[in-house]
Amino acid sequence: MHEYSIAEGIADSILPAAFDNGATRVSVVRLRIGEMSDIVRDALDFAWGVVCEERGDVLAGCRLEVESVSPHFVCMDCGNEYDADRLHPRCPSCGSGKTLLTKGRELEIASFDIETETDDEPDAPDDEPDDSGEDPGGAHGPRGRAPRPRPEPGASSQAN
Amino acid sequence: MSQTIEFGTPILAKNDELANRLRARYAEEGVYVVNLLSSPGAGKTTTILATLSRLSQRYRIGVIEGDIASDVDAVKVKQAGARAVQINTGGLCHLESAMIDRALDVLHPEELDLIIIENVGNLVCTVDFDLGETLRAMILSVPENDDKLLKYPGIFQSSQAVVVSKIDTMPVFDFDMDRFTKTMDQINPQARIFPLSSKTGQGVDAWCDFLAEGIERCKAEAGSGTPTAGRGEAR
Ligand SMILES: Nc1nc2c(ncn2[C@@H]2O[C@H](COP(=O)(O)OP(=O)(O)OP(=O)(O)O)[C@@H](O)[C@H]2O)c(=O)[nH]1
Ligand SMILES: [Mg+2]
Ligand SMILES: [Zn+2]
Repeated sequence: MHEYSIAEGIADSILPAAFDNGATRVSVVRLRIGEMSDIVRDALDFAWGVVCEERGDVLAGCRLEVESVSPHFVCMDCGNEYDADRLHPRCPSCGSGKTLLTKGRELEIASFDIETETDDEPDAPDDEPDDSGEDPGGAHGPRGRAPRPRPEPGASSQAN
Repeated sequence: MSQTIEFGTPILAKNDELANRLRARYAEEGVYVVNLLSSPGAGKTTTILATLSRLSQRYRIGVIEGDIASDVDAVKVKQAGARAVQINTGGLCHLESAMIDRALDVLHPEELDLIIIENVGNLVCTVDFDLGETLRAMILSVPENDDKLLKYPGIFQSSQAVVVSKIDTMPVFDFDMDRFTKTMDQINPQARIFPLSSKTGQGVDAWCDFLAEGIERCKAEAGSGTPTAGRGEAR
């Protein structure tokens, strides 16, 4: 079940970037997975569900979309470039087995969609002066940022 | 409001970056590092012991033992006279480069010629985790049968060498060596194949000669940028 490590790797790398962009939620993550890698889609979806639950609201209901990448080879003998299924990597034009795999092993996060609370500039400071007395800190960090209690319509939050 | 963030980053970027640093370190220090993969019980420890008995006079060898729990393999290897470090993954089904990085603090690669990493016994999970190794080798044992190639092609395709172990048991199993080499030639024609038995010793020399070649190549190329390095022909 290394899919769990993969799922954690996805969360670890996207969450900082998501928060930097002011995300309150990540709704979908798009992956590119090479057919030569040993990822089992069902196991990954299952592991992802577990990781999403652990990471709290920000990943609640987040979906994975997977684009699979077929193996692409370059023949070291005749220079031919070709796609092949994973079990037949030999060069189809000269038969050589001296080939280089140039695509087909990727485990890559292509993009992800985030939701932000307001139309503020994404990098606006979030600890605006707030006398509501709610949320005594602790809303930050890896488990997610609590949604702001009362977004003030139209107020561009200039903290300084 | 929703927004798409273009990311384009490897999922295992952290592991891959550290693996690349380790690879550079191995090259600099001239140590040949073998990541040894197989299913549980295929004969990794036994093959390592047979390798130690042939090569430990000539080379300084360290072994990293990866297991989910226990240190029985590391104890065996230490008894055979090698420097050994046990990594317990605590349930994780594969080794990651951060674990190797920590093990190296104990192992001191600069004092070694060869490091063999016995990965956790697993035909799937170990494949996607680069440890910065110089050679990825796997072991398929005769009792597992040659149909494993088509059931688990990933590990056979990502290995540069495949050891077929326990060939002394051929008479009692259905393993078909001819079919095995044909299928290997189809799915990974570049891999070197080493049929051997650690029990009878058959084939072990060819495997050790292959390792020795790699070790010598590594020593010869070590730290080619630094003045202290012994360059040129291998001794
Ligand atoms: N007949 C025979 N048995 C072997 C040979 N090599 C290993 N064995 C036996 O296979 C069993 C498992 O060998 P190990 O070397 O412990 O296998 P391993 O891959 O290290 O096992 P794990 O670390 O538990 O995954 C032991 O009982 C060995 O004695 C061989 O060449 N011939
Ligand atoms: Mg073992
Ligand atoms: Zn060709």
